Amino acid sequence: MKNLRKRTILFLFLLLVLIMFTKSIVNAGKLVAEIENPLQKETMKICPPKKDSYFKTIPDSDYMKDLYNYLSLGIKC
Amino acid sequence: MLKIVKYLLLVLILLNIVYAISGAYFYPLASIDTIGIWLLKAKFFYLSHGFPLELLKNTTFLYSHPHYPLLLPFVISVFYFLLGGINEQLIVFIYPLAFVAVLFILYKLLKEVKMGQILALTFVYIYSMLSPLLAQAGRKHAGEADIFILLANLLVVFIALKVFKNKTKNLGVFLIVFIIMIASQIKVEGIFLIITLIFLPLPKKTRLIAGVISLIPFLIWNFAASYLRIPSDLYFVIPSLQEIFLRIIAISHYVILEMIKANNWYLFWPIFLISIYLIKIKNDFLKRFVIPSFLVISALYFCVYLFSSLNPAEYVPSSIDRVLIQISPYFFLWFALLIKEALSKRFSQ
Repeated sequence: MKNLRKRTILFLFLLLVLIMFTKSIVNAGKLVAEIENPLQKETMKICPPKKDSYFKTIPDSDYMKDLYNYLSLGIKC
Repeated sequence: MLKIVKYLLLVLILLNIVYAISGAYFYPLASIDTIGIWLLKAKFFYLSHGFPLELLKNTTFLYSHPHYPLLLPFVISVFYFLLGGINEQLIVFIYPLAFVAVLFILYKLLKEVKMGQILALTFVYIYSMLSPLLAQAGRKHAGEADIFILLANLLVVFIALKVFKNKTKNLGVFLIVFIIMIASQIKVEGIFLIITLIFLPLPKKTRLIAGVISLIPFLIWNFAASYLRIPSDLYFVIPSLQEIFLRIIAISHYVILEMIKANNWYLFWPIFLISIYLIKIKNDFLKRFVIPSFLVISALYFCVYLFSSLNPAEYVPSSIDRVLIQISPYFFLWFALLIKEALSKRFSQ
């Protein structure tokens, strides 16, 4: 019984390592693409957070507009 | 065979380091908190040539959490002064360096708990793959402060282990107090590290004195922020009992959602929780320091979510990944020791 428990954990642990190894290969591909194609630098911005109730408490200002404009540059959010 | 595995693991860890550096290079300013909080305040210091009180009091910049401690922006501004100008693209390269430091200390910690080289490297690799950490290391969240709180937690665990082994007791306490003081000046939650003093195997008086000294910078900053009337965009509320109940459900819901988010944690949390259930482990350091510290610090974060002026439905999902990575040294060491226990002696030595 004790061995079965340990084997279950070992199996799950190896599964985790295997999944991460697969992701590493994907990341390596991404890395090569980034280095070969630096244009991605301009197109891979992130979407700013949605204007939720928290943001409504912050005064609307050029500073906040700048933050939003900068972060959403080049992509549809 | 073991040599091949060792080199493969080293290559995989190195790949993650390069991946983080590449992120810092290609997407240096991709986080709203980086440019809206941390680097903005560093600019305040640089442009003011002193304490930027007027800028901190300007409600236009309320998003920058003006009442937060200022150590990190101040340190960044010192770099600006040394460089002779604001260079944000260069500053974010500090984050992959912090990532390397984290991985190195984790490896040393695992070796210190008598883990074999291959197993220690496997855990370092697993840790380096966690997406919230990779993000902080350079993949789009470089410029934030969470990786430094993580580093502080990791150092405290490492030093505490030495204290438990009766090595460097006095120096150990001194270093832990110093780290708590620094952490409390990076982010407010850095002060939560003070909890770890309770679980150190030291006389009550020593722990009490260490605790009081650790609190000093935190108290000074909060008193100063209040005295100088620096505005705060976050504050605590006392919700009704019904609201507390609803909030507890909401917080738990979003924490569980984060834990099963495969993009961030893969299968880490389910395997960790199953391991806790299936594997019995006898480890003094784990039982007397790691687990109690983890539980009490987690409870404090829970209370912050519970009594915050922000709605948990917005606050928790936007921050829980960073909170979990801050306290990861506790639960990851717990996980590593459970797996070590589950593996045969052949693998663990």
